Amino acid sequence: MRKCRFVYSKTGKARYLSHLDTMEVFRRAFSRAGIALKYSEGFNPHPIISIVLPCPLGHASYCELLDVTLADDFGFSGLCERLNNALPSGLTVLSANLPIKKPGDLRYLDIKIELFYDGKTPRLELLDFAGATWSRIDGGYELTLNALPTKLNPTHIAEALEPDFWRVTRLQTLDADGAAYR
Amino acid sequence: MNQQLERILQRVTKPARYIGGEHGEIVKGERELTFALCFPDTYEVGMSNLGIQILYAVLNGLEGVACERCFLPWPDMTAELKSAGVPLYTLETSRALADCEIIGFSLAYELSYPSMLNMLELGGVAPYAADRDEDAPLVIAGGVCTVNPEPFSKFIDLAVIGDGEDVIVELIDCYRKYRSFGKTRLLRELAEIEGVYVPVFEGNVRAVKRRAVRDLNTSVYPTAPVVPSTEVIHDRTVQEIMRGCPNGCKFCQACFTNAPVRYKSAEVAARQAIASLKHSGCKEVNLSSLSTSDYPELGELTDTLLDYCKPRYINLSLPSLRANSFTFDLLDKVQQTRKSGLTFAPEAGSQRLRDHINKNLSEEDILTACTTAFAAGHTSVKLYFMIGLPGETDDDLHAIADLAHKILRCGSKRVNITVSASCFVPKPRTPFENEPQNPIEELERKQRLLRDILRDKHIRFRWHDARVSHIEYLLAQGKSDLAPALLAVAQKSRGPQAWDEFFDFALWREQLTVNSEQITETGEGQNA
Repeated sequence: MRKCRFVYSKTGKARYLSHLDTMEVFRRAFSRAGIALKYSEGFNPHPIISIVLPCPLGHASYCELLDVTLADDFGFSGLCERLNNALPSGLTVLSANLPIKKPGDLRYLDIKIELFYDGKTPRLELLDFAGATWSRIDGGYELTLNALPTKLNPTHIAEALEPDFWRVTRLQTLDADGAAYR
Repeated sequence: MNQQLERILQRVTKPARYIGGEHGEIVKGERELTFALCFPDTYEVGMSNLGIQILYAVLNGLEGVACERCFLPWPDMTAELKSAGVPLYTLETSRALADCEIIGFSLAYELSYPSMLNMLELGGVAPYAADRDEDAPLVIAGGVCTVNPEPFSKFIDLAVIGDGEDVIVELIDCYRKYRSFGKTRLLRELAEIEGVYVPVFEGNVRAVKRRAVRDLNTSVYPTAPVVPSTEVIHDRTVQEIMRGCPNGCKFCQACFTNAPVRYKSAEVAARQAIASLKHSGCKEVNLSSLSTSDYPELGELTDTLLDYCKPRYINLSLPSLRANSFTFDLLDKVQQTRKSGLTFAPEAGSQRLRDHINKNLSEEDILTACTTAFAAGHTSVKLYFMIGLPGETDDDLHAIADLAHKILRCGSKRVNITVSASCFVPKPRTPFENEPQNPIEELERKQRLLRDILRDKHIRFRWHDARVSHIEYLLAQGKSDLAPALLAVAQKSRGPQAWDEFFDFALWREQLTVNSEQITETGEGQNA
């Protein structure tokens, strides 16, 4: 038995999968890939899968974290490839490692927000706040927020800037010291 | 995905049902024709439908044919598509329905007819066949409802009667050969295919020979089905083991429209089920049939499957079992830990009425089964009945209550019983097709009577809306003059009529009164 933490990306169509849907998609993918997980005991055994800080419905991410307990002492090499062959479009496992930090240690996120305005100019001074950088992209603006506390919801930030359409993407998970969270 | 669609998906509930991209989805690049496989209900309902998965596999198995799925959007999505001017599209390649060569609907429930029209209109296709020009897609329908295609005959170019998997291949062949000859010629050629009914030629649908697959062992079966990434009605792998039913209950349409009874061998069924489970990763496999107890190799099949399922924590579910000792041994094997609820369908309360409807189940069978079940640790039983059956009197209703109370006494401990009463709907092609349906008031009186005599804290009584059953009846038996009413309901309703929260009886009554003579002010059917 061995704990394993996967880093995966959730982009494209997979952005529209809810947290619970994503958990079930992974459970099935492990089963299809023939990677046995440890099951809970009790009347209704189910595999123990958890997502450390699930991203909100509609948000994309390159740094989602999935914790499982493998039933056998699998080596981690090859796990990602097997899983990726079994995952639907938009979900891709990037790495598999022993979890280092506890879920509670995940404190900050690097976030990208894309903002699109239909024929109106945004109040650009709003984009200039602490820790943020912005640039023009095709049809809109791209805002990068470094070390945003996990308690803040990027949706609220995006909507406060009154765009006609926005996209949020998680780039990186950070611990209390601002170091990469793994 | 284009930004227009992204904007829409950001605003709607459960966007996962509008995106496709699931494991097992087939996206074809090179294609000669696109077949839009449509189900006139939501993704969650349609993706749980075995027929859709079978046809998806058959059609995508044909070279040059891209079969793409399309389901009914929820009202919020419908409104978004309309206001953005985005036509309803297929999940695989976001192709508008109007841009597909053939649009095929699987019709399983009468109240979903208006939803078919909503989908056509949303997809940019004129609902009336007569309003579609030469270049418009061919609109076809299959599924159990085509036993009486008249109510929707003005909207379709043709209906397929019976099993679809063979006839659809012949139909595609014929379409490819004659598509360039114009619609009239094409339809004339298609009408020659056995099992195809073309309404515009005004023939008699009863003269069309119903198609039935001869050998389930060799017909195409989807062992690599599309696996939804979001929760659907039945999150499980379905393994068909037989088609048809040997019992012949006189009210049952499925029995008479799926004849003859055909069995799949246990070896083939087990092989297919295991392949599907490996592909899907589902944690439940359901053996599908109309009467599982009548499957001759049930013991062997469950043994083989349990060997595979047990170590993998996969549940095996067996619906439609008869109450007998073999069943209990089987359930003991299948359910090691969890005792799930048991369901029986006596259909009628008295032996006299059960005999009359040809339901081969005695009171002794039921009571013995319940005693055994309660002794084995089960604590709840669900009983299905039908009210308004031909020849039913109030004595038969009292017999339902008597039976329920007798069952309560079968257990040494406290047990709970759910009595569920649906309303009899005379369906075409059944022995009871010409029987009258009880008027709504009479059905409601019977429901009240049952509610009064079933008062017990261990009995829960549930019933179906009699008004829904009445509309089902009018549509099941309807003629082509229902077309304007169906279209009006589609256009004026707030949502799918198959969903209780949107069922609008006043609208149906108004439209059926205006557009045909089938309904009276009090809501009584013509035959009632």
